[in-house]
Amino acid sequence: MNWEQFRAILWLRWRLTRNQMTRGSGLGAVIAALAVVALVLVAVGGGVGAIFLGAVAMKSIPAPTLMWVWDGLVLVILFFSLMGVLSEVQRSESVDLTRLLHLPVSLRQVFVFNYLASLISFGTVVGLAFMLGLAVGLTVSRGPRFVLAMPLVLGFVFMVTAWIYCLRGWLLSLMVNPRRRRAIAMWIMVSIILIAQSPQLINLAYQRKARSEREARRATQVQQLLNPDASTASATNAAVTNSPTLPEARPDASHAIQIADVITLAHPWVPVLWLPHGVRRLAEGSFLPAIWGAAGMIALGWFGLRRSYQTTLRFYRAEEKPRSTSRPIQPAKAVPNWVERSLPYVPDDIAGMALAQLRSMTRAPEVKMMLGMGLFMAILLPGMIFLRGGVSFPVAGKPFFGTIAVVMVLFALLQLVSNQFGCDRDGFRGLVLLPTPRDRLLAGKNLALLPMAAAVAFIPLTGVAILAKLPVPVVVATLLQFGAAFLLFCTLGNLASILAPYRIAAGSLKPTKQSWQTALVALGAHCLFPFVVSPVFLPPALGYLAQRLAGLPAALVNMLAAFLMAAGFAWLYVITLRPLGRLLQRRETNILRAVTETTE
Amino acid sequence: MSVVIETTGLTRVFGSLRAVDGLNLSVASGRFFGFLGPNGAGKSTTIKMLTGLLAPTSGQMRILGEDLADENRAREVRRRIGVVPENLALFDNLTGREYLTFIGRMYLLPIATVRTRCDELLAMMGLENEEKKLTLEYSHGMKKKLALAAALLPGPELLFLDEPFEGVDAVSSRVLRDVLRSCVKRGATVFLTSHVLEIVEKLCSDVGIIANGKLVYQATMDEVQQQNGSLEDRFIAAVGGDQAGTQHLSWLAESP
Repeated sequence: MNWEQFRAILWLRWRLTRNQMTRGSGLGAVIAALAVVALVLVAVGGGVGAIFLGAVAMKSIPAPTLMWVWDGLVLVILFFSLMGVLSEVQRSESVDLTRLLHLPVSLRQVFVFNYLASLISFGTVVGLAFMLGLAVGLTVSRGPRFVLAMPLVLGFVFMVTAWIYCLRGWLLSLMVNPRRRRAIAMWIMVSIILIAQSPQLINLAYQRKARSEREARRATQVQQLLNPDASTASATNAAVTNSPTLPEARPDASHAIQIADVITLAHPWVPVLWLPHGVRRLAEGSFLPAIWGAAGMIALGWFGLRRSYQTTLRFYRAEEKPRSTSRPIQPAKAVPNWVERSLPYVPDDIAGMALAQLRSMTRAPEVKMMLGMGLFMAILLPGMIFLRGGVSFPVAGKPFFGTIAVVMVLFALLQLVSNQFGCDRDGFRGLVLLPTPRDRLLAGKNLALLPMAAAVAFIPLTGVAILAKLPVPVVVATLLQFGAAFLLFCTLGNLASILAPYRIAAGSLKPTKQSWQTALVALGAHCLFPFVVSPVFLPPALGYLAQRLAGLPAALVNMLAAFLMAAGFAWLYVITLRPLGRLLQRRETNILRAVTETTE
Repeated sequence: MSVVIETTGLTRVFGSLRAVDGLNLSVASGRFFGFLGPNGAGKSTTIKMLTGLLAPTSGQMRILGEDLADENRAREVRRRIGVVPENLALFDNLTGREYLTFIGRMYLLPIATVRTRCDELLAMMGLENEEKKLTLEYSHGMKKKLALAAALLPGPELLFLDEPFEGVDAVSSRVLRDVLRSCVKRGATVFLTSHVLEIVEKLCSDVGIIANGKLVYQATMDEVQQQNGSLEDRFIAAVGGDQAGTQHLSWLAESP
């Protein structure tokens, strides 16, 4: 292995990362410099701090507690390593084989270089420094047998980095296909969000479980206090419920203890837990688990690296695994062409635009991801409110729930609607070349959004209608509010798309080369959105006022007001479409420059 | 013979760079015009301005007799022209057939006509077996062929092609050449940019050479041949390539 070549590859990785961070502005360069300084400081500080921690604070803590501390460390390192690899495979400029193999280096060397270079990451550097520091500290405080914690730490880091490297290679080999690449990038993004949100979700689920257990225990206590006489039961129940003297049932700790026992028992069998297990057994005076653990993790790491190399080799030689041929391949059936279809009462060019746009959006993973996350939030937030239990809502407030759900659904679509041409990317060039009047293009694009918005709105609106037991006129009013809000939303989205378009990276909704002006407009659009769509709250507010002040049925007034509002916004949409079309025509070359890469 | 492309003092400035500098160009109807120039000479910028993809900084242009400055007239002109732009204009998430259908519908062609033309164009371009592939998955050559099919679909009077043969294999290149020849034969005008002089020499009836944003040479191919030289000689003479220093890399001359 040539040291100069290794240094060159390290430099290349560093340069790629630095250039990515500093691209476009001086602020990025400052952030990159600060990040490096922070990495060094955190690694050195963490290592030194861990020595003191191990030498002083952990001198006499019980062995099981020591194990839990190391379990926490393992979790943190796994989290950062996983996040690191997931974000790395999304980068377009990875140091892959094809960019190095024309150089005078062998495949094996490139593989080893790449693996060694991958070790220089935040999670690995800081985690290794901290764990080694802790091992040194424990050796100082608890005796020389804790020297064995160091090979355990090294074995753990080797195993984790080797398998993470294997995962990275596998993902990259899958991403060779551009269509699959986008799907994987989407799932990676979803995974990152879910991993980052997992503590929140687990906490919510645990709280809900604990609450239901507490309520069940409370009900049992009530039953025990109840008089057998049924006639006095409800009065007693009410008295007990309102009584401040009844002791609040405490969450049972036995559940947590059971889980802890299971995890402790699992330690010898789960490789990533061999490090905490080995440390615990060292604290208990047993050497063998630490030695076996270190050897086992090094062996597993070696196996992972070998497997990764074989994947690399297969990829290099373009060897594909033989596919199952149990079923004979059927000739492809002619699939009806979506774009050919016509829509009732819709002019042909608008229908063509709408259907092509809809077809394109339903295949775009970034749009699916955005809709999925919007739907997730639109279900999660009302779900948290309605399924919480023990919360009662005023009847007069119920019509507003549907309106809130409508606003949330549209908010999920905001990024798509406020930068419609950015999402077209190079395709916008095709639209500019079309002879179609621009107002018709806008109408077609807006029409394509309707089924998507309706599909996303369906679940939360249905959920709210059922859980809040909304009367039929209120449901109808909510649907009308949805229509009205959608038209208003499209009008403003068209305007924002024309005035402040920006380029977004392929397969994502990430802005690239965005000027500060367009960034400001995009931020403003997000901040002002609730105010802009606030008129949709007028119908339920009018219904409420009509009932309070004049005794009129709130639901009917709400429905009537929603109908009038929908008609008003439809009229507004129609009269603004043509001027917006003209504005689009005037600005389309500017938009084209903003949303496509122009190399003159 | 009427003039279908006419520019007067056409200029486009990017910051301090004058990419196209006072271009005066005239192309007659029914001609096969090859627009040549070295890298960065302003070919693509010119074609973008002629097709409405880029606004000129100054100057006038008339396409098919219409002034593109008038938005309504410009839209009518677009109905009569076909364009294969430099970076193409495909939608990543549509299949080839879907894209062609979309273009046909936007040109308000009857759906039966769109279907027939799609079948014929896809078959001619050798894309008929790629029904399920998204354009995202197409190779560069396939994308070029699809873009050309889209440009041909409405039966344009004037075709603008920016480097149509770049990245296209020999078989497809032959097909494209035949298609373009037949377009000219039926009376259409083709305006193409290319840096492959052999192709231009074989195909074109007229040639224009641009260097540093200025039109430095325009002639018919017959005139080029009458001047006792190849197109390459004319090209190098026009762009000043013969004055380039023949730098001597001494270390390349040494034995390895």
